[in-house]
Amino acid sequence: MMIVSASECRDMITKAGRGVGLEASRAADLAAACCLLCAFGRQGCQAALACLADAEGLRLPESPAAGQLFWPQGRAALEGGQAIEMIQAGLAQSAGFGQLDAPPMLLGLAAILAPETGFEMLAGKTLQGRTANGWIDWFGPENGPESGLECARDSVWLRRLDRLPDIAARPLLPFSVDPQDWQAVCQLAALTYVPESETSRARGAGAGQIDND
Amino acid sequence: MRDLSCQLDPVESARLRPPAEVMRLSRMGSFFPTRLSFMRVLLRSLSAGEAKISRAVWEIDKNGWGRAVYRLDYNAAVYSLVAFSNQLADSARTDRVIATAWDATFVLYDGVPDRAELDRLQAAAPHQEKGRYGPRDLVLSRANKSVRLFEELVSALAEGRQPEAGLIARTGYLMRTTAVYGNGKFGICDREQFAGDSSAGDPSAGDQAAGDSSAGRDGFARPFAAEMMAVYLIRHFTHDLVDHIAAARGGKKAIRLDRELRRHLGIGNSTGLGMAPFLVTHPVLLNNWMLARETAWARVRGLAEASPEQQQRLQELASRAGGHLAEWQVPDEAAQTRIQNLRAEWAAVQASLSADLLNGPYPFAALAGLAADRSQECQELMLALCLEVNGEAIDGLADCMDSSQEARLNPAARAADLLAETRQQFGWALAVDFSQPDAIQHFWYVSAAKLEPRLGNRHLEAGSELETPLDIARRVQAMEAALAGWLETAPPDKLVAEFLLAFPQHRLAVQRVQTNGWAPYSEIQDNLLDASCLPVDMLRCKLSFFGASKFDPKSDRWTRITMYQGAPLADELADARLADDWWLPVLG
Repeated sequence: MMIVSASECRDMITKAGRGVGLEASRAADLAAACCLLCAFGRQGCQAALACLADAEGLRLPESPAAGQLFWPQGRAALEGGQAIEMIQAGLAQSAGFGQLDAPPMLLGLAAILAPETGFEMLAGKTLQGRTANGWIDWFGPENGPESGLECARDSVWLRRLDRLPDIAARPLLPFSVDPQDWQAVCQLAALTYVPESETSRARGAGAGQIDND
Repeated sequence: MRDLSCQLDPVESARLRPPAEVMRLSRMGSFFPTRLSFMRVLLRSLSAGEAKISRAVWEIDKNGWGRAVYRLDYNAAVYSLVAFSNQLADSARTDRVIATAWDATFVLYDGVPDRAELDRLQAAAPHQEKGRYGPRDLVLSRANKSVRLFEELVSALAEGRQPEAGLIARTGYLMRTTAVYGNGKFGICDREQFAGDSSAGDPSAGDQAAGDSSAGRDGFARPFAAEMMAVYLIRHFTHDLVDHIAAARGGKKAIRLDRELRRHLGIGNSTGLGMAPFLVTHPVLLNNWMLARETAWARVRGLAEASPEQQQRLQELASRAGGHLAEWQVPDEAAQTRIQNLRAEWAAVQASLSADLLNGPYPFAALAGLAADRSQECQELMLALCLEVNGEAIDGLADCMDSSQEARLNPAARAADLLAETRQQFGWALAVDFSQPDAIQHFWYVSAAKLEPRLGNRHLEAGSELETPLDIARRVQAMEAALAGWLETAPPDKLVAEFLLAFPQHRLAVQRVQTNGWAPYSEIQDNLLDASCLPVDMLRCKLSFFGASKFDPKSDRWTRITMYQGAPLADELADARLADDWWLPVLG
């Protein structure tokens, strides 16, 4: 594992997102959510990479019931973000995904995009958590979701809570990242770099060619 | 860190200059440092916090090469500047970011490094971006000598004479920093760790170094405070270095540099395009900087009278500013012409500073009026002068210049309201004709070499498909067109979330417009792609907030500046008057 700073992580994930065609502000939000996951000791970069495998094209939701949105195939950085915003806007109470590329990232995005709203997420039978005030509280199935959510093995449901859950602030951890994940992120970020040419080198100003004055 | 001084009353709000007037590149490129600039705020804070600076390690040879450590005790915490001075061939001395070697490299360190930590830093810092750093490393920097002045000073001092004052006034520094990296770059400590929450740290660091300072690090909570601290200590090192080499060369004949001359030696800096995108990518921070500055100006213009002490001080400082302008010489003809015009304007302003005007009602508003018909530079100089004599009324605003918030989207807003807001606040962007080649000539990008921001010509160079999203005006215009078209057929109560479900590509533009609704100074109101855009204006704006002076533009996209010229020396910080009286300094 290697230690990276939050600033590096944010910068590189933002670039990587743009590198694979993610809309610029979505890329920035993904990066912020990735940092939040890392700070909570989760493999944020791994989750971000899962989000970046397929980041183009529009997928509109179904509406299986009143107040519900559903995407058979969802991507946390795209439809996940849209679902959070639709719920935040009061246009839905919950959103489901038959499959989702990176469930932890959905919770990270909920904490980043809507800190003043409480969310609860259930992913399959194992991964559960709540958000409030920009914090995440992960809990196991033994505690049970307070909203009574249920979902199938592969699916993920996100639901707005009527009240803001009480989640205590906690010390954040240094970002420990798998070097292979980091390398993959850097490679995607490099997709936004323009190769050097003589012209760009000459015009990339900052000082003279030699400064012995 | 909000106090009452951050809050605007309705009268003050009404007196703010509108963003349409302030947020133009030509005005931002006319700014001067003020008492709210970060270097000024830092030195006041160091003085109030009884900061102590001492030399802990000095392993420098007769040529000036080796390593040194300066210890800073400040606000119950301990920091160190670690300096490495190296031999550098003239052929390798370039201030550009593509350089691979420098005369000196530096790390601002959290605590006091032991031998092992010093060795670690010595292996990394001379390589700068190629090295890897850790959570105890707060700032990374490097500097090159101002070769002629450095050698002249060493020779003079070695021979037992003080150097010519004019030479020092003209150059103003012994070294130029060419980069000052903070906030997590290359693995160094994230700003939020040392500026606020100190619970996050590197557990592996343990007791490896003495002087652990995990508490009381709020001394660097304000924007760029750690970076400005590093530069201040670098200046101190350059003063010691020149004395040391002169002593080694001259032996008993050598003397130390005179205190007043020393005080007038700041630190130079070469700043290129890398700094410019920051103002676009940090809209809320930009808003807070500008809002604090504009609030200060509105507050001061609203003062009913100036005390006799303020009147006297104002006359003294106006005169000093005139002297500073006379000392400010640059090789660039266009820039020098601007300075000459400003000198003439300022002389006229000084002649009008009558006792009647200063004793009259609302004297600072009257002074603003005195500059109103003159150049933007003259207006901004007047602003800086008036702020200078009103510290008591405005210094608290320095605590309002940070931001814990970022640009935010409100998906629950009505789409029709967003359209109205866009048309009301972004008329400047909607008026641009992007079908004209000149309007899209520039594209901002990140170069694969050294990963530095650059500016290309879309009509001549490849790579525009990878441009960085700094094209706010163009994006807002495209969003407005899509939104207007969508609303023609959509019910009027549709929300922003629904618009973005159909048009996700416009999310950034929506976010910027909505953010501008509560952060009115968050956008530069010019098309940054236009052929006429001068990035050097963005640089001057940001650098003036740092507290830089003597802007010396070398092209439309890079400039040299001077920092800390006239600032108190390390052993003078306890003197509160000296610590805060160095606005636009003049030698002698």
